[in-house]
Amino acid sequence: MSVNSNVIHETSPATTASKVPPLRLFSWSIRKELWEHRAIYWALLAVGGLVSVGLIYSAFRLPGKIEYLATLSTSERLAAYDLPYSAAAMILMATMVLVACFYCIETLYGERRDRSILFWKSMPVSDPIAVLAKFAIPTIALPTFALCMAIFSQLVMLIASTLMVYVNGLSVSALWALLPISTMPIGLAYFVLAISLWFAPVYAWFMFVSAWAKRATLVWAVAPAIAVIAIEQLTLNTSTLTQVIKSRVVGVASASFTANSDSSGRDSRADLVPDPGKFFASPELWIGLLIAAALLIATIRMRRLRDPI
Amino acid sequence: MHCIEARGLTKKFGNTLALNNVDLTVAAGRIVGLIGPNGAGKTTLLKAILGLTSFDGELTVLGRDPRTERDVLMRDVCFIADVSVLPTWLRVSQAIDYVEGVHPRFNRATIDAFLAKTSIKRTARIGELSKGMVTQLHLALVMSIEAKLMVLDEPTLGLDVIYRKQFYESLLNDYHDKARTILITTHQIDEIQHVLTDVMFVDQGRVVFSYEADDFESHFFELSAPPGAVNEARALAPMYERKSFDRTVFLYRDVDVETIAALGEIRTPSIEDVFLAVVGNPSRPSQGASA
Repeated sequence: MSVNSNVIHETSPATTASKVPPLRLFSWSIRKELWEHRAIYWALLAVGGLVSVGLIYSAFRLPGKIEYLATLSTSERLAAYDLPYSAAAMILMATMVLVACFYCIETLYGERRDRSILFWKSMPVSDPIAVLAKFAIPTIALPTFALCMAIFSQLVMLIASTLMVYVNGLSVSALWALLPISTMPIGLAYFVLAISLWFAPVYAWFMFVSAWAKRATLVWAVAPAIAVIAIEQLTLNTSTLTQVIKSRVVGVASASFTANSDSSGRDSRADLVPDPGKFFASPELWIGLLIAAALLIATIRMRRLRDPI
Repeated sequence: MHCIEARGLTKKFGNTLALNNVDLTVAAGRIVGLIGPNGAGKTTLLKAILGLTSFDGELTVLGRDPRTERDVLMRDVCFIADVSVLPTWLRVSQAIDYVEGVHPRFNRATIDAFLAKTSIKRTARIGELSKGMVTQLHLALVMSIEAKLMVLDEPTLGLDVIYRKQFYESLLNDYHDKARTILITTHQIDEIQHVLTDVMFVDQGRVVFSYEADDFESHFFELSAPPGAVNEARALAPMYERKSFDRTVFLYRDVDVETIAALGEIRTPSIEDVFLAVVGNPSRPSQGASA
């Protein structure tokens, strides 16, 4: 069927509008995700704020405890001084992973549910760029933000406890000598990086479910893991897969840090020390990253093909 | 090269054929109206053209395959696939910034001029706007993209008659030029009749019939015949007939005007009349579901 052809204008691909650089498309896609999911940084800000308040409170109690702390052995004392700092960081990291998981489960499902995917797809942003920008939220944007929050709350703690010690006429230099001031941010940054890499397949799986499921995304996201554990325990009487899942969920610290064996020495700042050599040599990490890549490719395909709900 | 070329376009949803072997050619610079009943396959056809759905058959849009090159295609295309798809959490200013950021053909001056005519606040979230305002905003966004192909699926749904009229006027006067192709579906046929250069009737997954708007008056005639002339009129193979009081109204395509003029009063039918004759005529052989 032909609709009039007497007005033919050249519309060859050669005259396609100039390309917008992929990096620019990527950065606008990330910006858009941050506009949409304001809750992800508010949650971290709120937890970071609460943690900072808690740290300030513990700093106020510090002068009263110094005499007691002095009676402890060196390693115990180091651990005691270190504890509020690492506890604050752990709480923020746990919040970050939780928020990241919810983000991944929601992101591609949400745009199909409210049909806004039809608007996003009317823009010259490819599905790979859109999906990778979404993947950058839990693996890059959130960790960076969580790291800043953790360092911020630790700085608050450091300033507060220094002030308290100073006001009470105690030795500031003695306090600072006990704290791992220079190594802590580096250890934290390493831990944040390890979390991103370790949880990459989990995030990618949740994003795939988000792009694929027609309803009940949360159930689809976690039910397979529960089913695998149940079936293995009930029928095979083994625990291999259970261990794999368990280590993925709670094993990031033991995969990337090593327990400090030298607990008496002057350098024993913490119970766990970063062990990038072990982490980057572990097959578990690389298998996980391969699975993440495969799931991301599947997610991109799903976003291309799935209709709005 | 044509703007859109389709050969044997087919799309199945379960056992239903949403598109049944559609062949279609649209030259650049045309304003094509796709007209058909609900479920005729118009939206599926538009989605295929926009790379939003998979299909069988051949389709090139601006020389590209929409299935694999949607993102590249979208540099030269703007569309409204559904009027209520702007996300509620987005602010008006963010929507504009985003489109400006990612679309090479976006013109901010144009949207500023459009929005100045509305009461849409830039700081508002889309969820806070009325339905009509969301549609106005979406139309303003796509009208500010200087695309080669514009696709609009029921674009004026939910707009009042004044704004609808303004929109079609500005589509025709400001937006359209000879190099731009516009593909549009609507139920309000009479409102776009004067805008279109081509009309395509879609029914049961097929383009059943198409013509150029300029040819309309010289091809279609409606005859209102008195009872005595009915048999003669019927013998001239009308597309459609209906009773109107004591007279019978016949619709003809490509008939000798002088012959029918002798039988009664003749006038030019509306697109709706022709639409009903083509799509709503039960005597027409079924072309869709049987294939």
